Amino acid sequence: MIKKISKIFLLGLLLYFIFLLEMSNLYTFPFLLVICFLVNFLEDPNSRTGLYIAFFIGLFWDIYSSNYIGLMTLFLLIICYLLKIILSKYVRIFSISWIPKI
Amino acid sequence: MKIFTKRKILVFFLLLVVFFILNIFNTKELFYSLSENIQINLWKVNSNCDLVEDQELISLMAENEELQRENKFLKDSLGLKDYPEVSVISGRIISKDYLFDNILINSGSKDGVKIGFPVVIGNNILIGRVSEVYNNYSRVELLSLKDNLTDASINRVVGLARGKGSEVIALEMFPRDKELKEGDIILTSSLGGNYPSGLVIGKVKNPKKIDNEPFQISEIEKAYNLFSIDRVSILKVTQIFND
Repeated sequence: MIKKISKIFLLGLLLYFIFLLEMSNLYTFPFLLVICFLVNFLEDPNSRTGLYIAFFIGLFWDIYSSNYIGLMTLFLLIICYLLKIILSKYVRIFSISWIPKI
Repeated sequence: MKIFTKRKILVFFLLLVVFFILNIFNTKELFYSLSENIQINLWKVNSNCDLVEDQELISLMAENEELQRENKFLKDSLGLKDYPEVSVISGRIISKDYLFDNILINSGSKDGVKIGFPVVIGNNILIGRVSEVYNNYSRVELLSLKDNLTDASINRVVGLARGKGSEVIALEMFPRDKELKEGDIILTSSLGGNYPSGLVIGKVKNPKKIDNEPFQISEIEKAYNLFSIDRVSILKVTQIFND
């Protein structure tokens, strides 16, 4: 359990620093969002890594914008969850096995 | 994979409660203060740009035009008009918004910033206005924010600058019978009561007259590049500009 929580925490920390980089004037393309959808699309539908990524990106997005905290977090989580349901129930697609499961 | 399980519903409602609590307390500011130093360093990296000289030139031209107008007016009225007192609060850009046309700056209500204050660079190049204020930070809506309207004036004819999102601004509602030339400087008008007159919005680019439209439209070439600036000035205005 502790190992799992520490993995989630590390993932959050990593995404936080990438997010800060993206908020600077170095990048204008929202590549974290693209990564979020790609991971959710390509990973094993039973894995939750993509959902954690969606949660953290949504949370940071809310904090560093004028949104209410939780708005984009829940929106991204629900979208990614629906994507996973559709992929697991109705679509057969290859999944990338090296995306680590948390 | 079950869509709704008791555990998932519980987590959802738990998240709702946590978010509600986070919104009540001022959590955003805590994150801003945590990341301020990193973000300021990241913003500095790209702060040299060729546009700075151009910005100064446009600023001087607009200042000149405004001074001429002011001079004429004062000559006419012999000092009957009181100009609004304006003082300046300086701030640094910390970050831009993720997808929308907003920026975060490090001056807040403790420095005297209030919602609605115009934000400029240089002497008089307008970039937007304050939309949210925290104790030490403020959020600035850029002119290019989608559907943001600014009263504009070109050679003393009034039009409307509309934000189109993604750092694009367009000129609308400019009378068809008035002359609109490429390169004309667009200044703010005090008509809407939001900005003092004479701040630079940009230059006219690609003006168009459409046959069955009563107004002319054009693109606006902004006088600033967001990625070439790191400091801004907030105009602490003390009265509304309707005159």
